[in-house]
Amino acid sequence: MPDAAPLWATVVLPVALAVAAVVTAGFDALLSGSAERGSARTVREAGLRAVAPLREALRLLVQQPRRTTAADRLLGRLGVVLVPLAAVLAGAVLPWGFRAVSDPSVGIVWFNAMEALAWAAVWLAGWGPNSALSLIGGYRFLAQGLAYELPHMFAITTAALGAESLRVGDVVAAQEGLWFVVWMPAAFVVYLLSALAMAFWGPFEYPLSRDAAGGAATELAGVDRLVFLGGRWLLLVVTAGFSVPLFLGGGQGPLLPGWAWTLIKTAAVLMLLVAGRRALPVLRMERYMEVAWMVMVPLTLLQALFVAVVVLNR
Amino acid sequence: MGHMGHMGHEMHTMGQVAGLPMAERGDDRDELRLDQLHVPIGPALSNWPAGLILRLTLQGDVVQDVAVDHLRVPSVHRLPFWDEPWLRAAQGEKVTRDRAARRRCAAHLDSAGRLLAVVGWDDVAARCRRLRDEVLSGAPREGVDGDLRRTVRRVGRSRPLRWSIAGLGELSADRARAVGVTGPALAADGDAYNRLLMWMSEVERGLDGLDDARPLAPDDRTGPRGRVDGPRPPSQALLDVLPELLTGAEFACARIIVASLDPDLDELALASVSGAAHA
Repeated sequence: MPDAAPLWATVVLPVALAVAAVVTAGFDALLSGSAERGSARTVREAGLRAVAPLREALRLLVQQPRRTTAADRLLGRLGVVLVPLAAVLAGAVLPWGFRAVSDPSVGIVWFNAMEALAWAAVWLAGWGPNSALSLIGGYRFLAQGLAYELPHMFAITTAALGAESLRVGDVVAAQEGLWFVVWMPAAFVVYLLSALAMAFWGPFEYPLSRDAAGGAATELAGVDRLVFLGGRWLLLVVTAGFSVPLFLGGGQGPLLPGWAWTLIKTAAVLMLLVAGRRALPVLRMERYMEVAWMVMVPLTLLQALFVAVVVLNR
Repeated sequence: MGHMGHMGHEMHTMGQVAGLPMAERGDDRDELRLDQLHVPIGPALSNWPAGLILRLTLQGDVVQDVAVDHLRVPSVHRLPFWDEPWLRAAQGEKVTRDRAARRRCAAHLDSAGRLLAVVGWDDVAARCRRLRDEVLSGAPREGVDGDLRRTVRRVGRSRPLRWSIAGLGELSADRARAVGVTGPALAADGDAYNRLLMWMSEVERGLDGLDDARPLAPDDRTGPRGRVDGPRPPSQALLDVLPELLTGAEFACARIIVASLDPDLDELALASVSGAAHA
């Protein structure tokens, strides 16, 4: 049973997530830079490319906010703020090693509920500016949600089923000796895909995709844009990070302390996602929906069935 | 708050909200009466043919009607960049084959980069743009050969890409010929994916011509988007074919279809230029 974390962890959590988000965005910028301008020749050049997201953040801080006619500013703002908020709240049940800010008996449900806030967030952000393109982006996220959410929930449920508990700490404890990824590979892969979809990032950038001129984020400028897009990176870090306690044994590992293993595993998952993103175009939901429902839903159900049979015969 | 009061006042006038007209209803293709939303795309967007304006009439996410429009093409005394080698040759100047090959390669890389960016494959799009610049700046063939072939292969091999855009903007060779399309869009004889592959294969073929110092063959008047000596500039035909490809398509496909044809509005100034050349 993991212990409860001290109170200061509550303050450290958002900061740690933000640092992780900046580092991940920096890594992504480094890869983008080498695609755009060839690989960096000096360390200095690589460093400059890696801090590009920070420079962009500073630029957004001083940029004028954009106003649109007859905008619903209250709901639009709410949507923007909800993105990082959902990420940090979901991060509260994320164990560092064996300690989380909070480890309620329904931690997994809490995590999923916070992720579902992202649905509201993107739709509201798309609705707010009273612009056709951003509304299209908002609706695209609902379509995306319909595609990824069911397989995603089955994947999470499978991990909970294997541990016979919805407490994240118990799920980590149940993986002592054998990580869930070994006997639930399908659930793990589906979880990673839906983690990207949840963070509407990479191949699942469809709600913000360029063919709708930026979709839900079209009309966002200045601080609004920074909070929304920064929140998206937070969401990516949190959803990717949650695959560690769910499938990769959490803080378990030889020699190093638990928190170090969590860090290493989270970094590895994030690197995999950021590097893997380069191999794929944005998936259009009208086509992805078919795969999600015809392949991934049955696949995750079979995986859950397999795990259930194993658990019953233990 | 003053803004809100103003808004409330506007609500009372018929068919207007905040000074904007309300959506009107019209029959859709299934004979339902649905709200029509008029959404213009262009003239300035990233990865969009500069100056092109599409006035879409949307019902739900289906493009019900489209009007193709563009900004006035400035009549500066400069040849359209991508067609320059062929036009100069038509005017009787001596143009080497490698110059034309470079321009064609770069033009297709430019188009492919735009399409891939619209499809959301940023990595390969960025590589295409970088290679375009290298080819244009006269990089030696050995310098770009490996990179270029790798990129072409990556595009050709990607199943997700094919799965994502296959079947969009189907344009048969017969139909293309009837409208007067002459370039790769005619040769591709198919959908957006076929057109992308056609660009890529022309890029790969063009590699062999990068060091060819012989003068351009007198009958080679086919620029990156089609024959420059025809009655109309090649991009005009691409624009003409847009309405039939877009009508009935979903909004999500509209920009992919446009990017897969990639009309170059600079060429519209060509009519007068080639007229001058013939005279």
